[in-house]
Amino acid sequence: MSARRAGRFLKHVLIYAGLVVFLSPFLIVILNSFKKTQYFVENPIALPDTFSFANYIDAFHKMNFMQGFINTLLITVFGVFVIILFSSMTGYLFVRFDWKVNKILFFIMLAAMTVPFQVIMIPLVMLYGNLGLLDSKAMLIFMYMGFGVPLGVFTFHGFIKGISYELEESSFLDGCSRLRTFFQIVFPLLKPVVVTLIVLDVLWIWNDYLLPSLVLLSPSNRTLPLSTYAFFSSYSVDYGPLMAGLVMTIIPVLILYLILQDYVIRGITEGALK
Amino acid sequence: MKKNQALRNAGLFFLFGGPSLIAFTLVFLIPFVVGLYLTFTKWDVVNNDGSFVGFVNYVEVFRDKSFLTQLWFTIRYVFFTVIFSNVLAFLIALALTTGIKGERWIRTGYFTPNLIGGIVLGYLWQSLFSRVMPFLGQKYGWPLFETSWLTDTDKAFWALVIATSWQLAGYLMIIYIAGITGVPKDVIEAAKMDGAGNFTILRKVVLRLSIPAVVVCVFLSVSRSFLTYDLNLSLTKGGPFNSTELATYHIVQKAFLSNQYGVGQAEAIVLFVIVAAVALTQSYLLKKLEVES
Amino acid sequence: MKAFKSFAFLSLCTILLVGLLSACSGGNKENTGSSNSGSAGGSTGTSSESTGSAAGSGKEIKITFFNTSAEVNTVFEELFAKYHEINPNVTVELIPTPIGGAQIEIFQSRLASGNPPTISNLDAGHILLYKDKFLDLESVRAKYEELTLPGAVEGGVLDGKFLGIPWSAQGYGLLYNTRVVEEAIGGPFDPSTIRTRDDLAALLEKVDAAGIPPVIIHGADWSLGAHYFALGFSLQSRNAEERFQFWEDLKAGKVKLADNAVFNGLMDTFDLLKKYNARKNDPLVANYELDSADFARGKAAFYFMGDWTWAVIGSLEDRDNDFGVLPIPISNNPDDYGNGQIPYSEPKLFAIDNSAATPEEQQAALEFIEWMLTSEEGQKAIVEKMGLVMPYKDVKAESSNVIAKAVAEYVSRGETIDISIINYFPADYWANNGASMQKYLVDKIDRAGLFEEIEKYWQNVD
Repeated sequence: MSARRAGRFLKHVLIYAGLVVFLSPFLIVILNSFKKTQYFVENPIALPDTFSFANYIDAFHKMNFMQGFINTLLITVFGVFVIILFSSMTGYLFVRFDWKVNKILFFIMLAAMTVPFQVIMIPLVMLYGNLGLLDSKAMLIFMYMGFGVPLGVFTFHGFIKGISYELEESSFLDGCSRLRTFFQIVFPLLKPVVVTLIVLDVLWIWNDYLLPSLVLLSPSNRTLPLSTYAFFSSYSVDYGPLMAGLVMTIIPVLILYLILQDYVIRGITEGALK
Repeated sequence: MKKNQALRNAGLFFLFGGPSLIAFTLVFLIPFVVGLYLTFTKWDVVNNDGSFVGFVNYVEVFRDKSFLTQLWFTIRYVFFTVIFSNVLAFLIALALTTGIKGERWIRTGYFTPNLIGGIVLGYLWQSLFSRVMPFLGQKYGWPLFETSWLTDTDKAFWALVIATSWQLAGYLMIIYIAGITGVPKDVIEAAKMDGAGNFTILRKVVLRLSIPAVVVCVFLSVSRSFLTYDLNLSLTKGGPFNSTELATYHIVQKAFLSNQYGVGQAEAIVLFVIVAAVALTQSYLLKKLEVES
Repeated sequence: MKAFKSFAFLSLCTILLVGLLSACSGGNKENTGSSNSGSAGGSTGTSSESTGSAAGSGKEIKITFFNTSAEVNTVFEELFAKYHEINPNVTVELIPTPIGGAQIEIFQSRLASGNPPTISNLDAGHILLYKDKFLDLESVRAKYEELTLPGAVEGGVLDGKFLGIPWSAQGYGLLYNTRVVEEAIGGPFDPSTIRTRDDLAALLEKVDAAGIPPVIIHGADWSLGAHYFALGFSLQSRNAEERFQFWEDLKAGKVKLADNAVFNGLMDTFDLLKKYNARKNDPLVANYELDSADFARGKAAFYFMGDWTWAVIGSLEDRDNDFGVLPIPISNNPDDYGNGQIPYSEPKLFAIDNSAATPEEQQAALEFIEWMLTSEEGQKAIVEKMGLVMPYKDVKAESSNVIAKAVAEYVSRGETIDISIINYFPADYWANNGASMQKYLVDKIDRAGLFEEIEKYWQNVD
C-alpha cells in the first residue's frame, strides 16, 4: 500500500515538474512582456523591476492589433469550418466506399502531407498571382482548405473506421438519405475528433506566417503573425513589444482551448456511455 | 439498373468528396505538378526560362555533397525526435487520463508551447541555451552547461532534438489523450477482473487499442520533423558553421539565397520521396499491428 | 463506374491544363516585358515630361515598397502616411519582410506571382541579380549626381547602368569605447596614432593589462565573412580593375591565398584580435544585442562592427556616450592601403520595378523617392529617426549617431575603402566564407585549412 502511495506521489511530482518545463517558455514570454528589450537580452529569467504595460500599448499600436485580430479571426473561423465539414465528409466517403479511386486519392492525400511546402510555394504564387487571385481573405481560406483537408481526412478516416456500420444501416431502413445519415448519425459520433482537429487547425492557421505572407498583399488584410514583423529587424529583434504582442495573440487561442477541452471530455464520455 | 448505380455512386462521390478534392487539387496538386515539372527545366525567377533540361538538376542534387551530409543529419534528427516526442507524449497522456486533480489545467499547460509560433519559440530556446544555461552552468560549475550548446556541433544537434521533441510532445499529447480516453472503461475493468496487473493492462489493452492514435502521431511526427524549418532558422541558423542545417533549411538556402532554384526544388522533391517512403511505410507496418491485435 | 472514372479523369486534366497554360502565359508576358524594357524605360522619361508630375495628375495611384532594412519599417510607414497627406492620390504600401534570408524568398515570390514591388530597398548585390527587372534610372542620373556627394551615384551603377538610387551610407571598422580606452592608457586617445598592427597590439595589451576585456569579435557568419574576410578582396589594390583581376585569378585557381600579403596580413591582425577576444570562452554565441550593449557599456574596449549598431546602442540605458572607429591595420607599414582607411559603402539602394509597373507608377515612385530624400521631413526621418548617414549635400538634419559621425570624419578626408566588389559576389558567399572563418575562430581549422576551404569555394563558383 505504501509503495503504491509512493508511486502516486512520484507521479504527481513528475507531472508538476514536467508542467513547469513545458510552461517555462510561456512564462518567459509573459515575464519579458513587461521588460525593456535590453533587459531581456541581459537576463531573460530575471523579474522585471516594475510592471509596465508600455510594451502592450506599443505592440497594440504597431501591430494595428484590432484589424489584425479581426482578419485572423475571420480567416481562422471560416478556414477551420470548411476543413472540418468537408474533410469529415470525404473521410466518410473513403471509409464507407471501397472504390479503387478512393484508395488512390487517400494515398495521394497521405503523401501530400509529406511534401515540403517549398516545392509548391513558387508555383502556387505564380499560378494564382498571374490569374490575379491573390490578396483576398476568401482565397486564403480556400487555400487553407486545400492544405488542411489531407490531415482532416486522415484523422477522420481513422476514427470513422472504428464506428460500426450497423447504426447507419438501421437508418437506411428508415429511408434516410446518405447525407442525412451522415450528419444525423455519424457526425455526432465524431465529436471528439472534431474538437481535436479544431484545436490543431486553429493552432496552425492562427499562427501561420508563410502562407498569409505570400497571399495577402495589402496592409488592410494583414493577420496577427504578419503584424509581428514590426518587431523583427534584419539582425536583431525588439523582444519587449514582441512578447507583449505574443501574449495578446496567444490568449484568444488559450481561452478557446480551455473551452473546447470541456467538450472533448464531454464528447468522449458521451461516446463511451453508448 | 447498373448504369443507374454508377450514376448514383458518381453523385455520392461528388457530394462527399467534391469540395475537398477540388480545393486539394487546385491548391496543392496542380502547383505540385508544376513544381515537379520545373525541376526538369532551367527555370528560376530571374531568367524565367522554362526550357527543358532533363535530369540535370537531379544530377546536381547528388553532386551537392553538403545536401547529402545534411540529409543524413536530418535522418538522425528525425529518428531521435520521433522517439522522444512520442514516448513523452504517450506518457504524459497516460498520466493525464487517470483523474488527477486539475487535469484540464495541466493539459492546457503542457499544450502551451504550441501556442507560440516556431520562430519565436526558437528564439526563446536560443536565449535559454546561450544565455540562461551558461549563466547557471558557470555559477554552479556544471561543466555540461558552461558554454552554449548552440556553438558546439554535437550539442547543437541535441538542442534541436530537445526543442522539437518538447514542442511536438504537447501537440501529440492531445491526440494520444483522445485515443486513450477512447479505450472503453469496461474493457479495462474486465482485464482487471481477470487479475491483470497495471503494466499488463497498459501493454495489452491500452497500447493495443490506441494504435490508431499511434499511427496518426508517428506519421505526423515523422513528417513534421522532416520538414522542420522555422525552429532551425531561429534556433541555430544552421550554425555552428553550417553543421546543423536540416534538409529543408538547406533547400531554402539553395533555392533562394544561392539562387539555384532548380536544384533546390529538385532537392525538395528528393526529400519528399524520402519522407513519403518513411512515413507511409511506418503507417502501413503499424496498421498491420492493429489488424493483428 | 467506368463513365464516372473517365469523367473524373477528364475534368482533372482540364483543370491541370488550364493551370499550366496560365503559368506559361504568365511567363510569356514577363518575357516580352523585359525584351523591350529599354524602350519602356526611355518612354517613361518622355511621357512624364509631357503629362507633368504623377502626383499632380489626380489619378489614384498605389505603389508598393519592399523593405529589407526591416529595423526601420515603422519610420518608413510614417513617411508613407505623411506623403499621402501631401499627395492624397498616391498611396504607398509597405511589404513586410520576415527576418534574415527569408526576405529574398518573399521578394522572389512577389516577382513570380506578377506582383513585384514598385520600389525595392535592396542591397546592390540583389539588384544586380535581378537587373533585368529594374528600371534604368539614366533619366534622373544627372539630378542625383547634383544632389549627392561625389561618388555616391557610382554606388548605384551596376553593370554599367544606374539601377539603384543611393539613400544611406554605412562604414565599419574597429569601434572603440572612448572612455574605456582612455582609462586604460591613462590619458586622451588620438585614433590617428594607430596606423600599424604593432600600434594596435601595444594598445590592446595596455587595455588588457588594465583588466578590461579588450575586444569583442562578433561571431556571426555575416560579420566574419562579409565584413572581415571579404575586406581582403577590396584591399588588394586601390585600382578597381586589379581587384577584379585578383578575384578572377582566385576563381581560376591561378593565385593562392597563402601567397597573398593582404590576406595574410588581414589574418595576422585577426589572430591578434582573437588573442584578446572578450568572447574567447565561447566565441560563436554571437548575440548581437548583447555584444553591442556590452560594448556600449564599457564591458569591452573594442568591437568589430559598424555604425548601424547605433540602432541597438542609441536607446540603451546607462551606456557610455563617446565612441570612435579605427581602421583594421593589415601590416606594419603605416602607408599601406587599409591601415588608415575604413570600409564605407551604400549597402542599400532604391530600385524601381520595370517588369509589371506602369509608367505612371514608375513616375510616382520616382517622385516619392525624391521627396523622401530631399524634403526636410524625409531627411529628418532618415537621419534622426533611423540614425543613418545620407550621402547627400546640405542635409537638413543632425544625426545623433556618434559612431556615424566618427565614420563621417574618414569620409570627409576621403579615407575610405571601396568595397563595391562584393556586390558582384554570389549571394551565398558570406555564409560560406563566414562558416570557414567561424571554424578558424574556434581553432577547428588552421590558416592553411581556412585558405583551402575558401579557395575551394571560389573555384566552384562560375
